[in-house]
Parts: sequence; C-alpha cells; structure tokens
Amino acid sequence: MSSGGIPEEDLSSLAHELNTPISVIVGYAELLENRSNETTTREAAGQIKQAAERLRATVDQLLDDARAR
Amino acid sequence: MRPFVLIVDDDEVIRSLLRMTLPEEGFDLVEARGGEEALQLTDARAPALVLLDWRMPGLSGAEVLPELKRRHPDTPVIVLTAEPETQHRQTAESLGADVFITKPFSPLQLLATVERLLPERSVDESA
Repeated sequence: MSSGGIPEEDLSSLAHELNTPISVIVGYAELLENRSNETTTREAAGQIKQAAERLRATVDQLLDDARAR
Repeated sequence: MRPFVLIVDDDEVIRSLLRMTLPEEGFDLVEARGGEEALQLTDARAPALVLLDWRMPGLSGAEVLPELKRRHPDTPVIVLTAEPETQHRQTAESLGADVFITKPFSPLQLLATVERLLPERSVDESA
C-alpha cells in the first residue's frame, strides 16, 4: 500500500517502463562482454553493464522508497 | 517440421535481445507481439518452450498462461516481468509458470535455464 500519493498500479507501470530499457542495456552488454573477440569491446561492454546495474539498483531503491511512503 | 520456441513480448527490442540470446540449433524462433498472436500461433502446434512477457497490452501474460497450459500442459513456460517479483511470482506459478524471471535479466542465465528446460534436441543442424 502506498499512501504517498502514487498509486501502486502507477508504480508498477513505472517499474515496467524503467526496467524494460535497462534490461536491454544490461542484456546486450552482457552478450557483447561474453561473445566479442575484442578485448576493448569486452571491457567497454563490462563497464556499460556495471553502470546499467547501478542504475537498476537506484531505480529499485527509488521505487521501494516510494512504496514505503 | 522443426520444433519451435515462442517469444511473446510487445517490446520489439526485448524480442530482439531474446532472439540473440537463444540457441539457434535445432529450433525455429517464432515471435508473437502480444497474447492474441501467441494463442493463434499455438493453436495447432505445441511449442517446445515459451518465453512469456507478463505485462502486455491486450491479453496479458496472466491471461495467456492458463490457456497455453490448458492446450499444451507439457510445454515449459518462462515468465519474464519488469515489475517487482513479489507481486507476480506467486500468481504466475499458480497459473503454471515453470520459471519466473525478472527484468533486467542475465542473458547467460536465461540461456542456461532454456537449455535446462528444452527437451533433447533433434540434431538436424544445417548451420
């Protein structure tokens, strides 16, 4: 139950809208990191993945906070 | 006819990521852009495996899953959702989902799960 003004349905929708593009970034970065033959590409993909995972953690935290209100 | 794996997601970019993640040997990859199309594609023939998005316009994953399982009880279904898992895992599992995965997902882990669930492949690789 969220009493902070944002209905649960809207938070779910927001989670969906934010996590879908993050999935694409994390997913492709992981595939590149594992399937590329080039060291530079693998390293860059690893960095993209790490940054996207940080973003995901932040989004999760923000949504959790919004629910707790 | 080769067995087929069905990808059901309204998001083209996610479908493309899933396509690139999945193995190509021994299976055709078939895509549905929504629940209605998924049911049409599975009317006559059972897929070897289904990857099913949960939140979709039109028929949702929660509506498609029971019908899929009624038609093809032996077909494994992996549910993918971008919403918090606590809300939907129980529902999905009670409706027959074999595996429940939240987005963002790891393509490599998903691939391992798919390999585990797919029946032995009829090896007729032409690649």
